[in-house]
Amino acid sequence: MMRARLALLLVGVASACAGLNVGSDEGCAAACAVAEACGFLPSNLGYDAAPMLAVGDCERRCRQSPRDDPAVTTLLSCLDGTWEPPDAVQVVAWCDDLTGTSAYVDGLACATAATCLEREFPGAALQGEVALQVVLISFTDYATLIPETPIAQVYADALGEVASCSEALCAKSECAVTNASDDAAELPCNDALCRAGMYKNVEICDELGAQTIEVLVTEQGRRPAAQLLFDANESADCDGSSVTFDSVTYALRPGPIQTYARVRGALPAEDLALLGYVFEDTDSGGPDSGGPDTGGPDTGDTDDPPLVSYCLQFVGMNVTARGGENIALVPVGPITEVAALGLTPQTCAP
Amino acid sequence: MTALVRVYASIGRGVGVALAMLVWLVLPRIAAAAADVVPATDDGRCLAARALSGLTPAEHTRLFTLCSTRGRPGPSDAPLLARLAARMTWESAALGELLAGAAPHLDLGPDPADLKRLQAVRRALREALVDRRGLTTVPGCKPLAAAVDAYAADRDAREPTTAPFAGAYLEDGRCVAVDAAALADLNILTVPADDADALFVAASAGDRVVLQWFGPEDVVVHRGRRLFVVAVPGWSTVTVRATPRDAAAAATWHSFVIQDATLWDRAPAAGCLRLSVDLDADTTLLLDGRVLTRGKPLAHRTVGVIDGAHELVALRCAARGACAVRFREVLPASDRTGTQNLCQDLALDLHQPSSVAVLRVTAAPGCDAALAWRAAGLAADYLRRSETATGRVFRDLASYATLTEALGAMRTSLNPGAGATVGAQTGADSLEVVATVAKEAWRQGIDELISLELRCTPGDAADLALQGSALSVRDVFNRAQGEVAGLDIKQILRVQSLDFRGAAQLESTVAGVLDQLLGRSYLRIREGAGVFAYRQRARVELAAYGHSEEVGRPELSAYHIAEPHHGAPRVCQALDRDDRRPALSFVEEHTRNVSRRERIRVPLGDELDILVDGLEDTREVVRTVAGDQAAALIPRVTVDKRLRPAAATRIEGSFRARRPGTYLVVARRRRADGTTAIADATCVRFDVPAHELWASVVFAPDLTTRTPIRSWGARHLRVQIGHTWYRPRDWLGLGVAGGYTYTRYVSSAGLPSWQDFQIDAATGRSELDWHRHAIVIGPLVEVRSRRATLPVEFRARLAAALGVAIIDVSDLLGFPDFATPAQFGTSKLRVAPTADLTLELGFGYDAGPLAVAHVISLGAVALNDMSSGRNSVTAIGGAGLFAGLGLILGGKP
Repeated sequence: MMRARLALLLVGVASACAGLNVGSDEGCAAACAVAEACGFLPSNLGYDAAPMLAVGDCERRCRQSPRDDPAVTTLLSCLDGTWEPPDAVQVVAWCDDLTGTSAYVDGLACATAATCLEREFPGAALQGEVALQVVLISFTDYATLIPETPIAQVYADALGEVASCSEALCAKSECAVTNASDDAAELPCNDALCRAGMYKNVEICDELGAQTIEVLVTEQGRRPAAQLLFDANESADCDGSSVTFDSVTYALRPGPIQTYARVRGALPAEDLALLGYVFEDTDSGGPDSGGPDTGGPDTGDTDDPPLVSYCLQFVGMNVTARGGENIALVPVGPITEVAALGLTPQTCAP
Repeated sequence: MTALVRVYASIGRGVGVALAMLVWLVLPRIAAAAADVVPATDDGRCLAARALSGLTPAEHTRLFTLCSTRGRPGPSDAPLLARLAARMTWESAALGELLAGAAPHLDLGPDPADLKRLQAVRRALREALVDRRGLTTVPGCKPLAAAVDAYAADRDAREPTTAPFAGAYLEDGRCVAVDAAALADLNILTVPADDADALFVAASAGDRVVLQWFGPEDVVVHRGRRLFVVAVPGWSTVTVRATPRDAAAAATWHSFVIQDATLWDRAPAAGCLRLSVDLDADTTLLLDGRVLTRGKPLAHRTVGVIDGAHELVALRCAARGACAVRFREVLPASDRTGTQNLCQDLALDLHQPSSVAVLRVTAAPGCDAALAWRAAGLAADYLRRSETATGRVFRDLASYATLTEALGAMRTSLNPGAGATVGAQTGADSLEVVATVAKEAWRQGIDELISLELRCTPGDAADLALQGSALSVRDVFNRAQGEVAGLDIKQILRVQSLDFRGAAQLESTVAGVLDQLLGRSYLRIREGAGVFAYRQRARVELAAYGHSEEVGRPELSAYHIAEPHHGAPRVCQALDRDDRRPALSFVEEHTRNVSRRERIRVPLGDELDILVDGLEDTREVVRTVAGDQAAALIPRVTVDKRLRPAAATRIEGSFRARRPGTYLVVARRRRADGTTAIADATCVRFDVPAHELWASVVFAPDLTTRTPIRSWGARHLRVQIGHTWYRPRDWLGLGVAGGYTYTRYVSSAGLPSWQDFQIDAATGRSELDWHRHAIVIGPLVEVRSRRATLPVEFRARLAAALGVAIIDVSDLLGFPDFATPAQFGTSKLRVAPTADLTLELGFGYDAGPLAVAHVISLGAVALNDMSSGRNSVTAIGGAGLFAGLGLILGGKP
């Protein structure tokens, strides 16, 4: 009788140990590091009002997540790279720079994780909410701020599939944390703007004869999202130089993003000619075709050179957005500067 | 003539007063007979000598010797014989038998001339009336013959008669040869001798005594009528006994004779007694001095008696020959004349030389009469049970049909607090009352009469006293008394009293009072609580009586003899029986076999006096009974504590049991030589409640509550009621408990784990708050340290419980994974089973009727959730451990 009671007691204690020690530390640090590196934080993987501390919450949740929950094991497999994508799914690395093995591997891991999260947890807010501020900046300022990536390189990277091996620029809040902690090395973003202070807004509406200026953001494998920055029909003010894309409205996700600034306007044909802009009689041409604007030269004033409608896309930074605030720059300038830099903006339907 | 009448009247008054005084003195002096040696040759004829009352032993011996030797008394015997002859009872008539050796004539007086004259007259009368064979043959006797004829005619006609043998017919000397001078100081009695063959006449005049025996040869026959003619001294007390031919009952006549007279003008009325007598072999019963039976019981023996007072006397002669009056009773004349020829039944129990009876038990005004009634029953039981020990046979008065008014009066007189007083107000005298009652009791074979009175304090039901009064009937009869002082009531009435508390102690109190009244020392355990909670201190009260230096110092010990719940041990069952002597022997044997470890010496406190001073109370009784005048006759008694025979004391002892169970408490007397004797014993039980109904509350704060998620805050409250049975071991309890549990959970860090991926990330960090209510019930097992030697009782209780938990998730509606899917159509509540296990460790103590315990409760809740990690990180997962503080209040329902 006593033995039976003792056995019952031991069983109870054993059960208590199993039930009272939910989760495990195993893999949590790595998984959350991946999540942080891939910019999935803050999200439902881990959240904190201070984004930098979200990884801690991620690890907390991870540790307390029962391993007997399939969702948890799947989630962990997403983050630790053990997830095997189905054959039909092709994972494209976020960074296509094969020369930088580490960045490529990381980018591939993040791409795999992101794919896993999207497929396994559809609709889940596990990749963090991304807010991308796209700022139009002059070529000069850009060259000053981002000297390591020449403008020509920016235009070259924009070709092909969207990929990025560069972090987005740090937002002001992140800069503030950086300044406070004096720990720039740990920043998951480019602190170029933190060091430079405020940059100057560019006002090129008049110089470009812009009627509208749209800012476009293209994510890997997705159609671009556009936001109108300036519309001459609605406002004559052209003092705005940035727009922000977020996850709620534009479903942005962490990952490589290509930014553009699409300008529609009218300029003298000779100016456009500097860029080799091709005018066509019909408006079937588009930016991709590189054909001339269908509007043709404006013949209203014989003294002034005739204005020709055009549509050009200035290529912006190609960055890896992460959960939280991100900044990407789109260098823009007068046609003459573009021409002088030897850039060839993409054309589009005016 | 007028002067003579005045003289006669004066004399009559004087005689009346003298007789009244005599009655007054004699009645209470129903004196004891002398204790003499009965000669081996005695055939019972002379036993009447020992039945005579009021004689000294020497006088008894003298008379007995004269009788047995048929001797003739001498002048020195005259005063004794004169005193006896003057009695108007059978005792004067008995002289005829006792002094038969002096027949036919004995005349002892100071003047020899008187003796000669009386003898001459007797001789002359015989010669003239008997020897001549008829009055008619002598011419000088014709007037006398005519007078006799007239006497006969009147007698036949039931008319008043005139004494025929009178001076007027005799003084001329023509018929009887006597002169007037010889007849001057004599009176002639005419006695019919219709059926009588023998006649005895005793006359006492001052110091002179004349005893005359007449036989058939002395009968005067005239015209067929038979007469005895007897001359007696004038102014004498005369007793005449006529013995019939058929040996039927003798007729006795008593009178103070101052003139010639006739006797039995009408035939005396006869009656009968139907005697039923139970007596010992050494006891002889006499009726009017004649033996009725010697040691053989009589059953409805019919005895014919002639009208008049008669006396029954029982003599008890010991083996060595010592005789003493065991019983004496005068049967008044009226008792038989009223029977109208029906025999009077008379039952006598003369069996036991020493017996006791309870006269009455009363309650003082304001006291519980029912308690007194119960005391009467207890007293009877005790006396009946203790006959051997007390040496007194108990006589149950209630069984006697012949309870007389005298006993009723005695009840009142011996219980002054019970009702009206007697004495001057009622016309009765206390001594008379006592004597009369004593006689009645004596007649019933009772030596000691005991009455009890219950006294109480108004308003305090627990303050009681029992007062007992014992009247020694034996002392009434055996005590030598002065002629005037009468009975010394303070010496024959013993009063004892005991205080007691409540009806529960009545039995021992009755026994104590009776023992004290009978002069028996005792050491008795008084009734008290017999069952105690095992941690309680048992109080034992002893009542002791007797000098401790003689009977020994009281000691009290307790022995553990049985485990609890095992029923009453045999020794305790034996003690519950009426007869305790075998039980005490059993106790003696039992205590010898009990190991020393099981023995507890019980310290005794101071001895408190509980005896109300008996002597003081005696005076009170006397004053109440007899009034101030009678009390004044009794010398005041100075109470000297050193002279007090013994003191009744109350001694209290208390002890604590080492462990539960039945204890045998034994009271002993330790004598000076170191030996001990068991005086009394009782059993007390230290009980563990067989079951306990309890309620508990346990609270565990955040600090001591552990949940699967460390960061969660949880406060746990358990409120339970339960019932635990401590069978078959008092230290082991099995029971069932049920109750309500409440846990409040707070997760300040938000969601604990990776879940609820669809919600806003910031929302997942908001504080979560939910509540768990559960109703649980389940078995328990409990262990207690039932050691009274420990200051507290340690206990451990292991309880399992199953139940249903209702989780309030109304604040978790935005967390569908954490709150789990809705059930039963409600989104705010969830239902889940729960299995709890708690271990309570603590200590307890008794606080009045409550058992209070303080415990540390170690618990595991929702054991069923502990095997599932998924449940543990949801609101319905209640798994947790806690350590809380608890309070348990329990008690025996």
